[in-house]
Amino acid sequence: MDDLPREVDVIVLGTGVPESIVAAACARVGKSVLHFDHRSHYGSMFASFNFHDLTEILQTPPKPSDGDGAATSEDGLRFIQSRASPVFSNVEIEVNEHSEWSLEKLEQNSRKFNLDLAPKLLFARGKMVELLISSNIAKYAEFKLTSKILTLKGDDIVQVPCSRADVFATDSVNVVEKRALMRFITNVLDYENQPLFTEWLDKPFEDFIKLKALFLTENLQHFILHSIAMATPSTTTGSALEDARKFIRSLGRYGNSPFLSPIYGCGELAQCFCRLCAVFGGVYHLDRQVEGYFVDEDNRVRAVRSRGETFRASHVVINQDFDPSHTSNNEHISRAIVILHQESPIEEPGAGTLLRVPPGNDRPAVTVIEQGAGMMICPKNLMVAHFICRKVISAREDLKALVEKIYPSSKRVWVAYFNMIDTTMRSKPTTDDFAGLYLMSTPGLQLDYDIHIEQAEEVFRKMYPDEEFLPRAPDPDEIILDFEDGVPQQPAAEHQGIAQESGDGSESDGSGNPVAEAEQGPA
Amino acid sequence: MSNRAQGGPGNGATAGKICQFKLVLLGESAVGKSSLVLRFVKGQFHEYQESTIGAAFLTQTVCLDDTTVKFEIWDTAGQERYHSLAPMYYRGAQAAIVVYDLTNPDTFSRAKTWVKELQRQASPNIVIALAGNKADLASKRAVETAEAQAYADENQLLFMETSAKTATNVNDIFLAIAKKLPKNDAANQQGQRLNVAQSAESNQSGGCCK
Repeated sequence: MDDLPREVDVIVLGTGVPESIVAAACARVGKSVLHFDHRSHYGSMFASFNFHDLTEILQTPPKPSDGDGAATSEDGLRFIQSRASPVFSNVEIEVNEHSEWSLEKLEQNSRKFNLDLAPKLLFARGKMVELLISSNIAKYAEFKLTSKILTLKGDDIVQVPCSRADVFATDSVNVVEKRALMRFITNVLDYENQPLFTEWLDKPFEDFIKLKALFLTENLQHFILHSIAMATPSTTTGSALEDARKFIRSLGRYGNSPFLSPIYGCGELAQCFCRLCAVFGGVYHLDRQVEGYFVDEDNRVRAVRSRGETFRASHVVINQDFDPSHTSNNEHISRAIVILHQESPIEEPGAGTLLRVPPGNDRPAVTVIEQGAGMMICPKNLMVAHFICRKVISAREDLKALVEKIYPSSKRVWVAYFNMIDTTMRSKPTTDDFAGLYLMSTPGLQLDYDIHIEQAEEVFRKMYPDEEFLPRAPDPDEIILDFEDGVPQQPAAEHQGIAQESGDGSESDGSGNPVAEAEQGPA
Repeated sequence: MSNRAQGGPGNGATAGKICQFKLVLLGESAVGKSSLVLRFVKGQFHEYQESTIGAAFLTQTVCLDDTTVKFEIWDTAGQERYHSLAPMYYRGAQAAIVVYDLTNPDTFSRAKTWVKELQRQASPNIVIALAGNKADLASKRAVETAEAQAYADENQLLFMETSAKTATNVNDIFLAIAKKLPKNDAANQQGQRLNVAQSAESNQSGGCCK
């Protein structure tokens, strides 16, 4: 019954965003891909869960590698065990006994939840949106715009005016400030040509925006520093201006907000790339344990051992769940997921709100993303707020005061605090120990997926330097299923050339019937 | 392009309303999901059908009086094979055909599991059709028509026994779904959901806040 291919070009272990992008990119250019996850859901640490499954996954300790199916050696290859590092720590759950939404009621409505482990927002001109469009899979998921961007100023939550429309509509800045802010925003778009800006590129942004010549009041500095550039005290002017420009350019692409998010949670995104991979012949098997790897005398990975079977591949792409080197000096992030009771649900709430909280006493900057039932992430009359920051002490210590400051106890139904490992600070996507093994990053603190897409592209280029990274997939009316005597016109292992808009169709054989029914490699 | 469908399906728009729907196919491997789509969309059948490489979905239109129903038909891309179908696949689907092989009773019980999954996870107004495929292999039948019909009635599913090979009931089942789908504007509008690719094109000049 198990007719999985025993030899492929690429094996991918784990279904988080970066490894799923690599899987899709490989399948897209005709490589054979075998994609496993030891969990029974897509997304790894990028997944979204219903209420029941989230509670379970947070509270289940990782299965220790029990050496089942471990092998000694095979064909002169050495066996290296895969060791899952624990993903969650310091899990603490608080239930409001007085809420009409009892634990039982939450369980009954479990499937109406899609709770993100790694909530993110997509910049309308960020790399994720661009990649979904350029690879032609934006259609796989549905998106909504974030409706509001807020910041905490002193004890008050205030809306950040960011678009021209906002700037003119808001009363949180006065007329003089409006003019200064608009001028600043216009200059950021073209900062390379502003001598005042360019001479500060290597210096702290925090000092730059205090320059008298910019006429930015303290009020405006706060908005620019914490919301538009999302800078920390150490951010240089150059990198803050890049971020600010991305923010400003993202405004207006789809509406009066720079951000969008996928309906049903961020876990959908990894699935989009897995589907693309499958559409191009990638083979999927979730809920499949992996025991380890076979390496040759040069420490190059040659094969993967799973359920006692050996699968050979030229390249193996993994996430932290399958790391054989068991790197322990990981950073961590602190998370809180807060389920809130919303007495009178706002009509058409859009994709929710982003609140950026500047760093305070002993507390790093915190990102809060609040979404409602309109995003298909919770039942009606509830809302979900996600808190994310760098770990200092523990998730609860880092976030509890802020959670309780923003949401009164009468609104809080259920709160989970937990820490998650963060490997985004590691410099290289390859493991130091083994060639042909590529270790992809966890979600990290960043709002969007830029670093994950850069990493996926880097790994793909290492594996296949001469291939195009995720060229546009064909639309249905560009696909010609053409048979002569029931035989595909073009072998499947060839590139699936498409009617290219870019005109660089050199990869296809020009037969004009690119996507054939296939007897795709593996079987 | 190369629209060779025969019978029911129409060839594009006539005057009147055009409604577009996402339709997903579900069911065990090798019950003939892709064959049904290929029969419906292309009028073709291939005995040794392999999974469709490169096609995220196919489109076909059906004409009903003054309305043109355009189906976007999504295939599983083989992800169901090791029970690894991504839930994203059936999100937002307005219609589903759950297929079983009437010569194989296991595929019928698996079909029931899919119906349950859709009732729990998919949009509450989804139109579900049950297709007992391979009706041409009557001599090897293992699932009785009456049994499947009773199950379909109980769960308010459309039901037909189909054959992608002989084309029996293939166009008919899509037509029956088209008839049952709500075609008022409210049902077919996307609300505030974005068409990410389209909005991008219309905004390509890049003018945002300049």
